[in-house]
Amino acid sequence: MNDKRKTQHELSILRAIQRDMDIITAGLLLAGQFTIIGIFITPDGFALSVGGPLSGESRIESKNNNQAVDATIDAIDILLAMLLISGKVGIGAITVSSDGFSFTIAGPIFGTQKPDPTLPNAPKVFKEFNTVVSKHFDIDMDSQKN
Amino acid sequence: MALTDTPTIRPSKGSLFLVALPIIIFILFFTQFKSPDRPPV
Repeated sequence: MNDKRKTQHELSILRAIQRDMDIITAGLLLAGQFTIIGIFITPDGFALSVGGPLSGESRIESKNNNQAVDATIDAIDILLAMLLISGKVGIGAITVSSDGFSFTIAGPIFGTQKPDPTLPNAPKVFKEFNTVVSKHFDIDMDSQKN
Repeated sequence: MALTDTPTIRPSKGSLFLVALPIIIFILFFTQFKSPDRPPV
């Protein structure tokens, strides 16, 4: 029972970290530090990739200084930030490249699954690990001292 | 009541295609990387 409560507590911490990442990314999108930089197509739907100089990536801009295209990029960024803040979408993955990394935004509204924190069998695994380690790997700490 | 409590929209495959395709075309043909953001080689 105690393990279950501990797992629930850890899940709530993970959920809070995910929510913080969503809010920070939304703030960076609204501040213009991040822009949409790509799109991933999956069998279920699609996911949008965002990044900026803070993550080592380049933002995008219009070709030939077209104001309408710049306004569209801003509109997409604002829409993404609103969806992130409202919790409809979330940070689904981080893509690492040679320059830096970008955040991938996924959610049911894009046809993809919004990631949910999980700790499958964590208490059981920890208990088994502790049992095995204490039973077979009894380290004599005195021998470790110089 | 939180914002996240509102029901989520789940578009159909066709709707998703109609949303994704303009974004693909937009990014591919109308945008470029911002030159000041590119690190000097």
